[in-house]
Amino acid sequence: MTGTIPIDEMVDGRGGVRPHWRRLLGIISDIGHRELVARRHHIGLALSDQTGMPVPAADTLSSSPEKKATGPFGVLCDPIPLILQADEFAALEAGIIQRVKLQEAILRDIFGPRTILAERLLPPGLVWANHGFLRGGTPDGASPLPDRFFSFYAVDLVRGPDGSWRVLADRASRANGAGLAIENRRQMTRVFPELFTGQELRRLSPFLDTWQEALQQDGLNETSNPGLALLTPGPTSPHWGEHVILSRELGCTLAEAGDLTVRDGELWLKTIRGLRRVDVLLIRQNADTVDPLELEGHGTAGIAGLLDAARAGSVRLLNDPRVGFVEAPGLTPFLAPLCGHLLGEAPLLENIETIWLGDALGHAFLDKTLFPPEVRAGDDTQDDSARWIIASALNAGLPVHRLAGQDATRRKTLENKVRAAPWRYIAYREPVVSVAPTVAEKGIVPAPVVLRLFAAFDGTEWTVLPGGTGRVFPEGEAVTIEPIAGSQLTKDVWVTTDERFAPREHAVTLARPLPIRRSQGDLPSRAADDFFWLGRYLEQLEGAARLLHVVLAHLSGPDPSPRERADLDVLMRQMRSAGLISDVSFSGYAVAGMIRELSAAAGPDGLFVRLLRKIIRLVPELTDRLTREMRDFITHNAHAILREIEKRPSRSDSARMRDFLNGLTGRLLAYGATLSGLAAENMVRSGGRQFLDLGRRIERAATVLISCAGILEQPDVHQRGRMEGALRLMLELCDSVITYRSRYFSVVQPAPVLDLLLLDDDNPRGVGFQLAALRDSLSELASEDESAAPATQRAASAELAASAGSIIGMLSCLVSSVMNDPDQDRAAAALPEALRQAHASVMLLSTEIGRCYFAVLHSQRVVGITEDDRPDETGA
Amino acid sequence: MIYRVRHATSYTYGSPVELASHVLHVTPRDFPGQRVIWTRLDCDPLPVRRRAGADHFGNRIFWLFHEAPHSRFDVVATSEVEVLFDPLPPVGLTPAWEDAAALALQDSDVSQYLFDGVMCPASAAAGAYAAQSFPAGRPVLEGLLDFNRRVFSEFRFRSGVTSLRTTIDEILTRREGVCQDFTHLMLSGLRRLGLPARYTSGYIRTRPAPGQKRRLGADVSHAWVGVWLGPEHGWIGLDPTNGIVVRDEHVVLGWGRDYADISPVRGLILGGGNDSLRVGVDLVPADEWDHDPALQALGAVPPDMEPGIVA
Repeated sequence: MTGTIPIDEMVDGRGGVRPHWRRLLGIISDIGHRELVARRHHIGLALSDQTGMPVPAADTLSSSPEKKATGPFGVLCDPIPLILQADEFAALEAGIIQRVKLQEAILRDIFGPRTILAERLLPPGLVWANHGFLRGGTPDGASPLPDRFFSFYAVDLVRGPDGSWRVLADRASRANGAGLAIENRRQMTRVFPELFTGQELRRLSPFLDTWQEALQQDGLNETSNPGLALLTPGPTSPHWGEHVILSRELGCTLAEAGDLTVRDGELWLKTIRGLRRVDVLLIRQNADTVDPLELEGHGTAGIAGLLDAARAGSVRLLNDPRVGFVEAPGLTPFLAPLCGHLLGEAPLLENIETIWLGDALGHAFLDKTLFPPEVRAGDDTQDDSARWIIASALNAGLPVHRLAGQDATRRKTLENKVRAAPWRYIAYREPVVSVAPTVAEKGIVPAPVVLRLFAAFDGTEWTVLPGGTGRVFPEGEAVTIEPIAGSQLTKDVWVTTDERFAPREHAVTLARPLPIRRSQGDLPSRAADDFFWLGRYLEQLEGAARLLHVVLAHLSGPDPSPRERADLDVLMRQMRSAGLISDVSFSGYAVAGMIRELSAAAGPDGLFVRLLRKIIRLVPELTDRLTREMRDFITHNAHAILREIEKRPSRSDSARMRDFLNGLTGRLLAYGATLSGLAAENMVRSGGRQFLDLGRRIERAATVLISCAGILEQPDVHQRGRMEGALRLMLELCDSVITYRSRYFSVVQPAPVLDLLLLDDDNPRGVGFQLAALRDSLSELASEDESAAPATQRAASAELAASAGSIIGMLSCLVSSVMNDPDQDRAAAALPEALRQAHASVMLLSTEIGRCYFAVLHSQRVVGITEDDRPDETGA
Repeated sequence: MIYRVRHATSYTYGSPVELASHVLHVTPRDFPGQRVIWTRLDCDPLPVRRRAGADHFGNRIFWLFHEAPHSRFDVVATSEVEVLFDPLPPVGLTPAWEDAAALALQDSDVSQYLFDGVMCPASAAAGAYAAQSFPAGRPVLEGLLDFNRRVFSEFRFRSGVTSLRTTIDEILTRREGVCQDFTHLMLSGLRRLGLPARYTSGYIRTRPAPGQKRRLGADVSHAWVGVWLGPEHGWIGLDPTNGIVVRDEHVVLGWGRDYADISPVRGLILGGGNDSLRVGVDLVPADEWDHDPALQALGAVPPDMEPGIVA
């Protein structure tokens, strides 16, 4: 039976290789399997390098809901491309252009005069209950319709056993994958140059140029330098990689909803230098969440007022959020008559066989085929229903139900659900899709493939990308209409050339030369905030490791003398206040007992583990702003240390525990130090390093102040002996012993120690150095030129710089009060309260930095649909 | 009857709100049987941006955007409305309820009210409860009046026992609630039978007890059900809380599929905390208003249309 055997893209029905594949197959065979796998990994690495997502393992490439991973999601590119011949592509091209025009016409009708409903070309339920039917308002005098609903469009196609391509699903609202198509081609030509030599292929770059030019035109209303942004749900999205690549290709800022704000009917990007105007927003987030003010969802994931700004014409949304309407699977069976009604044409592209279950025909199909009374569930050979899949007619985002292999209970539950409201469902025949040669672990295998093609509107007409992404389905997995929800294996798509089908090449206007820019003025506040916290976490980690290191050094000998024990008590208190250990009294313990207690610091819920996890979590957010080297270093080493902690020795084995803790602190200190070096060498200062530094400086200043205060709070510290011990501990904890000794030899007195630790702006471990660096960095932000930051923002920065300066002043008074006191020991012993005040000032400065540069990040709340304002208490 | 209606909403925030965007449904709409003579909206503090328009259902809405820190947000909507609904048709002239259902499905506007909104999903129990009023072939109006009467007599008005999270089935079991609960119950039951129904938000006239003076702001928002009698007779309102047909004691603000479509003040705010809300409504016949010194003191009406006033 020809109807159920998939055709092979490469091999014809008689086992011969199709002519247009012969050359490619020859080269592939020459390369050899082992080399193909190696080069596939090579491409995977390159893609991962761009996106910050890991290279997915071959066995994680599955989209079925049971295996649905939680991410991070990566992409692989199969070394063997999918080839479309010129004539084949020309037919698809015409079909896609017609289809997007039809979709546009449907939307203009549904959100306009609704003749489709009046003429009953679409059942009311598929309109009114359609998940994509968004109910926004219309200002007086405005048209409810935008100039265009679509400016970009993607569609998934499968080739059936009869050889013709059919539409699997429309990808109207997010249309992801074009960036990947372009990047796949770039990597393929780099890694497999031999495949491309002497091969006449349609190029992808003219399409990209056309698209870029169209976006520039879209934003050219008022400004000469249009602000383009791409709205992404963030690194948890399976399309994050695509968003990173596409935003770079199109030259737009990658933004999450929290990065954007609407002010006075205009859309702005929140950056550390204030707000920057956005004229064109490419939406790659769920359309129904883009504006929580007007759309149904009760969440706050979107940008309040975005639709108002779009209606006012100050920002163009590409595509209009309402295009999701045409993605509802229930529309499929009605497209042919709609095409006739709206375009006066017969459709050039068919869909896969789909039946809406809401009419008499659908009800009969439900009874006869899908849920016939006599079929034994699970007996697929007897069961005609096994070829069908049931899906929501109203929402393309819901999971589908494959009837094949379903057990009786689940089938009954599904039947009851569908029978309760059949109009909410469709059934589609599980497509038998063509297979294409794909590199597997053991050899080359034929694997089912779905083709995604893309079209962009250039202001006058539609252009189809002569290429695309092929998506390979793993063995045994059904090809469904569901959107991509995990890592994927993709293919480069080739379109051959043929003079009979000469492509319409668009005249490309040369892009305007870019003005030279020095500072990365568009560093979004969110990224700056993440860098700031990355800095603080790294410094917390280093500070905690240093403290543990000092404690271990004090425990290296035999059981401590009373004097050493006093030092240890102080150190343990420090450990506790740093959160390294919980509240335990050590006084009575021998060394072995103390080591046992210290092991809590390296426990599975210990401070180190918590900090390392926080650091790892921040990295994906900063993907597009950290080099691969930095990302790898941060993540890999953090994971390695976490693994080391997992293998820690037993608590009771104090000797091995001591060695383990010593090794661990060494690793952690090296981790922090190397990272600082990498940041200094690899990062542009304005690209985030400035905020990484601010975070580190704040944290280090705070740690030193709180340590000094803590050490000076011990009993009898005003006595010379105790004071000397305390000062030595302070130097040790601040890693300033050598510096001190080089200046004052072995005489330890309060004023010189305090000067070195609190004031000396030459000591990179002291507070003075941190505060001076903070002050200078903030002054730098304050003295930027007019065009870089608005006056209010610069004034706020200047104020912060002044605060940092005033803390220095406060500390300088403190040190001189000790120096001028005849009894320095007693004066120093009285310092803790003032030191704690200085610590509070540093923390306040941190809060104010947050308020100045990141305050716009706070999340909004929905009001008005809560308990408080229920209408009515009218009695009868 | 000509009414004057004043709907005052006042938010007080424990800590300042830095950014706020609001969509308001606080001024009545025009439709057959109700004519809006004038309307004004005053807002304090003044917003940086203000737009007037219509929502998907054709109700009047205002968008207000605030960008300066504020600790208080006051909105007062005042309108003058003439209400004169046609008398009900004889029940025998309305189509059988099954025919009304079929006709609704064919109407490109009415059909939308056959489908649930997010807040009021169809309930089988509500459908079964409603079905008792709709034996086969009964004229739709007869069935609707009976259903309205049943909800009025079988449910007790009691505030404070239900919330926005109370489900239709719970209301059905408790047999008590407020106007919104009764409205949602009827919507759910009617839609389950395939009859279109819409959540109607508005005000009902109250009279001070004999010898008492009118208290300012003592009236409240009210909700009832809009039901459809077929293409010839269109929509009427049924008020299950009071067991009556909406004639000339009600003023319609607007309608939607359920409360979520027409909540009076919906907004997103940045900042705030410990918010408190006060709502006051006055619905008074225009001639009474002109003779009541307390109402007169609220400001001149009809208003001068000075800048900043949206009609």
